[in-house]
Amino acid sequence: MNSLSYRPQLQLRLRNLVFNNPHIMTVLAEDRADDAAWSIWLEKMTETVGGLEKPDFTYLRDHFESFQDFAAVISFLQGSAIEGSSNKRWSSKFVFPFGPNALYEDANVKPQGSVSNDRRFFARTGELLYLMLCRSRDADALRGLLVSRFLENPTPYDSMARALQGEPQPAKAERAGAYLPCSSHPLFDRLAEDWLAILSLPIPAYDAIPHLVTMTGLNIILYQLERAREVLDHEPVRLVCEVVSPKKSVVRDLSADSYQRNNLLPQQAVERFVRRIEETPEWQATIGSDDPVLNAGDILRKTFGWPDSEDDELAPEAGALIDQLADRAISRHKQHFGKIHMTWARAIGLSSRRSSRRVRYAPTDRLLKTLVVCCVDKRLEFRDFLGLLCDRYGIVIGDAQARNFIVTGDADQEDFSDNARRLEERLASLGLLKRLSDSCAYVENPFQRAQAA
Amino acid sequence: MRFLRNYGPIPTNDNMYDESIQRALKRHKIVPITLPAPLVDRLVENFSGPNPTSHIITGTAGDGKTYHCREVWTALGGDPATWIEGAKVQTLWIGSRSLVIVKDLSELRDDEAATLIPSFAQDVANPQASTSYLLAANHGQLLEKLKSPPPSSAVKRVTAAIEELLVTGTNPDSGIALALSDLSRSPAAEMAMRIIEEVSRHEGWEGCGNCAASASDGGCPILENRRRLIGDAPNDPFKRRLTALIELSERNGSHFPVRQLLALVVNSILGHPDARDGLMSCAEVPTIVQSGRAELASIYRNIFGENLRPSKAEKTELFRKLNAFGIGAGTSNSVDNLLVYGADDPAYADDYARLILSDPVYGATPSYVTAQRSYLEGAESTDRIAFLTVLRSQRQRLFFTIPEELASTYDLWDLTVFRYAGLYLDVAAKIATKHTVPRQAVTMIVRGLNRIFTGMLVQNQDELVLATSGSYSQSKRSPLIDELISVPRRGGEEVAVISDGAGGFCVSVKLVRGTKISPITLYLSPTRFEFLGRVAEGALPSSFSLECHEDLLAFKARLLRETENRRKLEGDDDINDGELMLRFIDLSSDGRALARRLIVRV
Repeated sequence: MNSLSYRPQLQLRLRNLVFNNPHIMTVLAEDRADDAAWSIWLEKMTETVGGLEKPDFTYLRDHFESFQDFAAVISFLQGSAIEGSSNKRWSSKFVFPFGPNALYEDANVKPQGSVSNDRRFFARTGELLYLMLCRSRDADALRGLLVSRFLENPTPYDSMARALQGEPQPAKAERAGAYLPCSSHPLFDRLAEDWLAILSLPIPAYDAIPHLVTMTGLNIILYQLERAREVLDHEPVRLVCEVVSPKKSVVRDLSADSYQRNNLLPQQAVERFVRRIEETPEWQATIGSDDPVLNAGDILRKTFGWPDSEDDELAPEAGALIDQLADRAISRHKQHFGKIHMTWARAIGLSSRRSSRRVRYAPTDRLLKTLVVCCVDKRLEFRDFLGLLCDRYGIVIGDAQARNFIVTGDADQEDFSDNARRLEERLASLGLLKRLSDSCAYVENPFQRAQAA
Repeated sequence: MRFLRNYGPIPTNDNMYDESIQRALKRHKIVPITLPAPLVDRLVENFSGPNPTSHIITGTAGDGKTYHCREVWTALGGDPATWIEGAKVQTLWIGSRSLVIVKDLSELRDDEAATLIPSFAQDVANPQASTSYLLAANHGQLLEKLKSPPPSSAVKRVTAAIEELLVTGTNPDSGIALALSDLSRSPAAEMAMRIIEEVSRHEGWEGCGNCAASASDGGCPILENRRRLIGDAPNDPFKRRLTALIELSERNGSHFPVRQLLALVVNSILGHPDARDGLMSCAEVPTIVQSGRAELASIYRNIFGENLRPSKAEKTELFRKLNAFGIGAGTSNSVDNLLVYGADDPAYADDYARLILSDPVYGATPSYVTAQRSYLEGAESTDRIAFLTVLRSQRQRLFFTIPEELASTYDLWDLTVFRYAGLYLDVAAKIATKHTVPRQAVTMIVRGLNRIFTGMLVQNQDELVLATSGSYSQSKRSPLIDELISVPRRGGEEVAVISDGAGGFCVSVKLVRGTKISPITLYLSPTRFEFLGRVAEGALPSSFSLECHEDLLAFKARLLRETENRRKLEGDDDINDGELMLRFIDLSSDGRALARRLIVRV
């Protein structure tokens, strides 16, 4: 376990051409003859290219009939890139995953030309996700689908990426060291189920990608919260979602509270995880020993691999040593993993600050659509759909799911039934729900329906 | 009058229920308002025949489910008196067979349902069963009751069949002898006409002949409204406009049950903001007429519930649906010119006389003329608000009264939010009578689709520009052409507007001759039609939600999948001899999308 090791692609020629190539426009603007345009561009490109030892793009002329055609293809790839207009550095931008040739890892290209993987922006290559899926119950079925739908059946544009890149360019060294503690987890199985459900829809593979991204984000947020909950031994994680209403409502406050609570959960778990050691008999024994600080240091080193070096200024007392470790763990956590919940929830459209100062769970239409597409086979009664969302993802929308809040008097039944009614209207306006009469409606998966029609 | 009033949107609202109507009819000795129910005859025939099929009647509240059950009961020889006693489950013997009628499934307690549902499930699955059923319930209750008893395989099978019947209208399981009628799918526009007919020509009106109010100077607003409801000329536009509204609304998916239609008609006749609950009774008429505010009883305002308090109208589903058209709020320049300057502008003089002066009761009323005067003479701002209010009523009136021949001059449908509704109805009518669809509608639809498919303001209207972004179908801009599909029939390709089989229409795209790939269709609701129209015209109000856009992108995704299938069928590979051909969209100087071919050797 945890011995994953692989060599990712770098595809630096492709990336230079698409994301580090400001010359095309200027050359086009000069309006030269084709030969002249190519040679001017090649010259300029050779000067600014990054991360390639012997830049040579002359092979491109064999692939394109004219410089103009080349320019059109590059602009197409730029237009379809993922977050193409973001202001990330060029080596952290990605072309659309048309197929195997368009996949590569994030890199840091230094002006001197050295390439390293500093892994900013959470940009590993999805190792943890890969491990989760591998350790799920449905790993085999999923492997089959991914290979047949993506790797063996790329869109024609993948060959375009290949034409630009030339020979694939793997990284120089193997990447290893990915670590995922659980050998299995119900969430891994659920994640794989969601992937299977989406991949078996009758839609083109590239249309499935946004849904996969969204469901993965949701599941990993929930994984983080669930692991935190396990450490803290709290009640099950709930996401109280407000279906955006024009007016301020009780549900809005509750969903903001729920967001706040969940947002702090991982941090509390980190602290608890560290401090738990104080309750062990070994720790108790050190307190009473001759040299508590030294012995405590030994235990901490054994359990957490800290303190590891001599130059750290260590606290003079065992209790303070723990505080020191917890502080460092939390401050590191705040800069890294602590941001997952906030950043990802916003990115997948789960949380929002719309018409409010506090962030809350307020799913966007896009997320709702993905949930329907993923969870509903053909059609499902609306109330069952609400129940399913709650059982599966802890999403609380309707009054039946919010019973706890109603019993404690934090909200009225009407608050949540209004919330559910707004969801019903939203889904209907998205074409995902068919209403029969007063109290009955079916949520329908649009793609299954399209197939039948 | 009092009986009629009870149909209206008032608090007691006794006539909502078939049961209480029966009691009231007896008390007042009134001939009931009868409406056609073609289903009753079919049901009677079915149940008295040798092999009856069990039947479920569903529908929105107020569609007449109970009415149907009662009619079947009496027609098959059941005793009306027994019916009125109101047992929840009634059994009728027809020869050696029995018929179980449940007029409202939701009235059953769980334990009662627990005995009824399983035996029902068994009998419908058994062709030899001697008991058949007639059950009535609205959709939600029906499913709830089916789920309440402990699940058995027989119940599950029936539930699955019923679900399928509810959603698709077809029974997939031939072993289940069961039919289902959804009353909310019956056309409400026709029904509305029948109700107007029945109510306005009811024999009870004869009692008004010797009433003092009708003979007085002001006239009785109730009678005035009735007269307008009946209409004086054969081509009276009033009823046609009203049915048009109802039809458009139904096509958009909001159904009008019979109960709401009755309330609408009654409210139109009796509405007045000063009356108790907003509905006039005979006793109140003289006071209202004397106060000089009789014009507020205008039938054209009442249709939109303006006689009720705004909060009440907002809460009543019926008026919410009708007010969605925004009649009165929206306008066109020509209509407002007529209303504001018509009195003085010689160019409008004829029409002004014909449309406004000719109607002294609700048109050129003294208060309207005064408000118009003071507005034109530049009075205080408070008067302006008053004028805008009367203007609103006038626009509502004009919507219902502009004769057909002037409709296009005054851009009648600009008075609503659905500016293309006139064209929509025209297309629907032409299709229903198998006439050619107006060319203008097809080009509009195609141009609208093209603009959405490409994300550019293209002008093409004789071919469908199926563009792709190369990545997801949902992306907004699509620079690559996948296919250009000819609109006139050519080589198996065709884009046409065809009937959907239920009075509406859809756009259908055919890709090949024969049946290898079935045509891809998209139902055009008035909202979608309007959306396409506005996009084709170039301006899209932001009030249109993204829903139409999403729908159309999903339609595009379906088209893209089928063109890919076609390429597979015809053996066209994306890459030929190591060459990948791309077709980028170039816009020509006149705004047409052209394909620019480009080859990448891979």
